Amino acid sequence: MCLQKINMRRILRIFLLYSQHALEYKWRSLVWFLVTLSESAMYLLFWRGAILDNNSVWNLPGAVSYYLLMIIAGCLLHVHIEEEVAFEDIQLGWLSRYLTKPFSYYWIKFCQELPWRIIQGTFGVIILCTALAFYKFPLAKPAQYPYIALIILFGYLLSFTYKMIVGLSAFWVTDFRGVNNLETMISLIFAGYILPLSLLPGGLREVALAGPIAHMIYYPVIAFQGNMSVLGLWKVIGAQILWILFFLWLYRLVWRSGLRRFTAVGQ
Amino acid sequence: MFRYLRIYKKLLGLNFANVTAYRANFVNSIIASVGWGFISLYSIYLLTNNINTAYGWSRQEILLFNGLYGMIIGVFHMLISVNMRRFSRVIHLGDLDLILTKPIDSQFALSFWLVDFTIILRILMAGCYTLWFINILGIAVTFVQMLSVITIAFFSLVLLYSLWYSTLSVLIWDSSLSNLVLLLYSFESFARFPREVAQQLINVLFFILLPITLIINTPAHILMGKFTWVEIIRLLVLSTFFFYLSRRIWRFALRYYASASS
Amino acid sequence: MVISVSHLKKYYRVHRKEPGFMGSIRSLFTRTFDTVHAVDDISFEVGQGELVGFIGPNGAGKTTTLKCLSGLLYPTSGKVSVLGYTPFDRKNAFLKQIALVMGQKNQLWWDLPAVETFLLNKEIYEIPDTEYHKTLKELVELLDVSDLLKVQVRKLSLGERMKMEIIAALLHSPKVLFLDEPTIGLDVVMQKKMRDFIQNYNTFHNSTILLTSHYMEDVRQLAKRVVIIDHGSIVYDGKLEKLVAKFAKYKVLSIVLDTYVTPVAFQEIGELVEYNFPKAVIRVARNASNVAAAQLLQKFPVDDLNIEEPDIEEVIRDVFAKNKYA
Repeated sequence: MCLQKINMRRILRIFLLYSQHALEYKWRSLVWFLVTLSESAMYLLFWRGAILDNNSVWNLPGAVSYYLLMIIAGCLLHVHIEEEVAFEDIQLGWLSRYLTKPFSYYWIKFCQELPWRIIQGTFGVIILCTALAFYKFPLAKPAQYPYIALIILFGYLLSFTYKMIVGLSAFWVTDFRGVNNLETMISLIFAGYILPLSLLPGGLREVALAGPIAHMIYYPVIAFQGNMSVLGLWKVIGAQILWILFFLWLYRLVWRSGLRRFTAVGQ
Repeated sequence: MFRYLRIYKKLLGLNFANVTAYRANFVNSIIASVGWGFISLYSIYLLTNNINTAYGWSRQEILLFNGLYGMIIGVFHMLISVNMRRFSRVIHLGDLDLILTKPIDSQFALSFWLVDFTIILRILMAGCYTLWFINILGIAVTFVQMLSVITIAFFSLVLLYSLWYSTLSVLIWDSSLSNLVLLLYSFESFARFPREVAQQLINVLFFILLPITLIINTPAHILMGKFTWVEIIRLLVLSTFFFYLSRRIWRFALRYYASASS
Repeated sequence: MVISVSHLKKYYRVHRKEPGFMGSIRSLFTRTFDTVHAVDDISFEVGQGELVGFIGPNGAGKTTTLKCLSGLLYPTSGKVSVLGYTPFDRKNAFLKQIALVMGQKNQLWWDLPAVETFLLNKEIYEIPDTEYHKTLKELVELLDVSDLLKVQVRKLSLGERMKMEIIAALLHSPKVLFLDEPTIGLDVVMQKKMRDFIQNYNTFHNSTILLTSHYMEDVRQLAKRVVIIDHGSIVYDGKLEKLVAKFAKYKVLSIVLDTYVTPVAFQEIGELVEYNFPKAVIRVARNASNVAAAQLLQKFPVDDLNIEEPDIEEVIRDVFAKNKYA
């Protein structure tokens, strides 16, 4: 399984091979980035009007940094591997290719997905740096960077494992689109794309802040905004580790039972 | 003209038979449609939860705007965007061959082949939502107003369709850009807010955002009794111009169609 | 002439990428392009009712030629005329008279019975009711699929689906048929049925048919005239029998022996290809076949002797391999 002997050199070589593939489709990556950019830009523009109309629930520099960082988080941390796992590998039967190879399916998919995230995240970083040149908004102090790096790393691992489990649900479901749609709807609200989770109404806020999706996308953004104390950062890291362990255990369970159901010719 | 109406009537029948062919998939599609309808309305409800006004529009007016968006864009998703998603697949797999060898306008075949009937539920949800906020705002809607909104909404859809089709013609040159459809969905989302939201960006992204912001803005202004003749004429002119442009771009793009390997 | 092609060319530009990660990075900044000559200056004509076979190795330009003739691709240069129309103009009057059937492509609605797609095509091609019913009945009987009309397409076998595809393509009784590998993936029984159908259709309707195939049996049974394409150029255009006479430099003598003869004894006659007593197969030069036959009858205890042309597949393989030009 994914915790088998991990040969880092092999993984690096495979990662570089998949990076070549992702680079061939750089325009596709740019389009994905523009999707994330335009959605965040739309909400930011809305908030600009709301804040200027003296709604004191938020301030403009905070809104700007939030949505800019959300663009990067959406590109870098929001994994999209579940559709390939469900539609191509399981439903079309391409999983056979991976099962007959002496390499963990989890790590192959990891290497496949990461280059796309890096390329799109790079576009986001360029936008952030450009914005910083023209506009001042709050960001975390350099002393907090090591914690933030950990939060981003764990956020990615959590996002990836979670999405792999979502994709593997196709072992049991004949029409994956329903699961996919449901997951997308939930992420839209609970990742904080529309507005910060702290601005959600009462009960919904508590559920969202405690959930796994917030720990993938939302908390890395809040951490980078510099809105958390060191203790707060440690709490987030601790929660992420717990979620990762839970999802790794769940992945193992789902993978083993799913494989037993899998018919090599696909559904 | 009548020929195309007959063909479209046949296509409606085929699409309905197709969507009901498998009960489980039918139920799945209904649930997804209702879910997205709910999220579309609820997301803006959440966004405006902590504010009273934005750009001079009250919260109720923004929510009414969003309901109208849900209805008009719902019709677009039912009839058109389902075909736009198919667009890239058709070109990438070389299935455009099967369309081009038929004695039927290829733009018609690509634009109107599929119909997603399950979206009717979303339109109905948005309709109820709109009526609710018309009631809250105390707007008295006359028959003439209703007719004007429907007429202008038709031109809004023509404009939106033309923008989408022209953009997706790029796929002839690079069929790997199938995710362009998603970019168009997110640009179209700008139409869920009053025009003033995108005003600052319009100067920069004139050709992309200006037409989009007219799509819902103009019918909403008619509904609320705030329209001007200038914006109506602007919408009519732009929708006609962009429709003509979409046909020219498509015909030009077909010269570069390379099909797919046998 | 129904089809007239004059100096047709179709070129594509393709990007050449160096392998490896650094190759990917380099290609972000500089790119090298090659021009592929998919069809390179070909000219030919086809008359009414002819059935012409296009053969060639993979990537020769067969399908590209068909796609230029059916109006799918815009030629780089040259003139193409089908039924008096320029195909790329894609006028409705032209499209109502042609049909393109591609072995691996599917126009039927997957989750619905084939008859639903037929009804849609009836509207698209504006086929009158009486003609539609008459043509459908004829095709269904010829292809023996009356029990399958109301079955979902996804539930049909590949062979049954191909039959339905053919019906969908022929409902409007086209004058020109472009068949791109119509028997690909079918079992031997279905291939024979498909060939018989195509032959009957050509005879009965006097329609012009252009057929591409990798199966020699398709060409042997159906096409009196073949066009061989290789690397985008026409290598041979003429009757199938003359192809053998032109390119095969040898004949094959098959004999049945009365008593055993050592293999080495045949060396003075020709090349011994196969020897499984009492049968032997000897290859001799084409112009010396009669002399060789006479020698065999004189010197060896021969019970039976046949002089045969070499297998056509072998000849064509040699043509591709040596790339001989007419």
